[in-house]
Amino acid sequence: MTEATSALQLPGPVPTPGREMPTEVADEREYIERITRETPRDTRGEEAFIASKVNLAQTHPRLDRAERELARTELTERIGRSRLEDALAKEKDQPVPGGVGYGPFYNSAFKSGFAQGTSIYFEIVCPTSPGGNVNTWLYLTGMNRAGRGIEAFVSYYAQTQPHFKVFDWARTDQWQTDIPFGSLGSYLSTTSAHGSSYQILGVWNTTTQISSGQWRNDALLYNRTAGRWDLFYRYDYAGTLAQQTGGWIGSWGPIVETFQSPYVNTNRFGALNTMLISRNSSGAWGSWQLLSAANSYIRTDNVGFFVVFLDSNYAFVVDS
Amino acid sequence: MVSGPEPPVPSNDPSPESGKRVPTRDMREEFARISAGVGHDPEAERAFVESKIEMIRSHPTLSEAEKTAAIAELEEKLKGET
Repeated sequence: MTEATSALQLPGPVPTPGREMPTEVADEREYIERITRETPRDTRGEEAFIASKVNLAQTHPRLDRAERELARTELTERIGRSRLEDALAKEKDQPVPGGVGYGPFYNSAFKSGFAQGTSIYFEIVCPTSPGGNVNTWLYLTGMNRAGRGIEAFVSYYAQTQPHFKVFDWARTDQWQTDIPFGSLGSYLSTTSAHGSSYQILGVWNTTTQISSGQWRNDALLYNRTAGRWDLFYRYDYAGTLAQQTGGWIGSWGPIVETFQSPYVNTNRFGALNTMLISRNSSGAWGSWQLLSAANSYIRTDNVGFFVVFLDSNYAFVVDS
Repeated sequence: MVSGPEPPVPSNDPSPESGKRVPTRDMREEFARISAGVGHDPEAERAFVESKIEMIRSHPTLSEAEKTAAIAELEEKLKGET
């Protein structure tokens, strides 16, 4: 690259972010233009860029609904409706897995803060239909901190009937329970929170040491019709405390796990009454404690959800 | 017999007022029977795993080293997964 210095007129003072800046200015416009011409045009990348801007507007955490709509209108005007829609149509085919729509993750000290057992109870706010533009998977899941614990979760796929599933991190054949919502009538109920009524599923799962080097995963659902706990899953296995308390698996509390972006006009999802309890090294269980902001933090990847309410951090509801 | 924790108290549950402990019933056979009747969905199972890996990659506070360790942990635990 040739250094072509010239007496260019600069638009203003040279920025000096805490260090001396060169005062000479090189005119490299021709060089850059040549390189640009020689570089194959990436129309896919250009479309993704446009679609991303729409996504940015629609998922911006500080914009309310009206402001997001205004931003979308502005983008449509500036980019052109057909070009924008083309870009969005192509982007729609690209899955966006692994997002966290909203929900708490455990702080590292709390994640490892048990000795012979840990247990979680939470009420999954789970409408029978996800609504809105959900066109792939969406999970309402959570773990009890144990790295070899389970995920007992609600799985949506597009607008089809949701399923309640168990994925057991202690097994090699991890996929276990799979129950369509149509078979969960005794377990689904409604409760109110912050003035609204929500369909919920009360899930309680426990990981506990049953003898030296032996652990057990239990999962129960609260049967509202019968007023009892129904044990629906149990698995015993060999393991160590380090396997349970270490690592990343088990670090999420009740979360909305997402696979697309942005979400628009969905029903409300969330979790209520999230409580955890620990068993110490003497084998004694403590008492149930609501999940607090002192032992967890909220993660949101800004995929379009609005917070309807958050009771830090044991209860939240989001929609889009 | 391993003692579990005291059962949590679900919202709207009447038992604390009556002072009775909520009973527990073993429904494993029933749930296993229903689950066995639901078709296996390999695509959904693959999506579940890929999602977890992406959750690590996009985690806002994990360092690169922590992400690498977390993905390795995940892959180790999923060795038996088909």
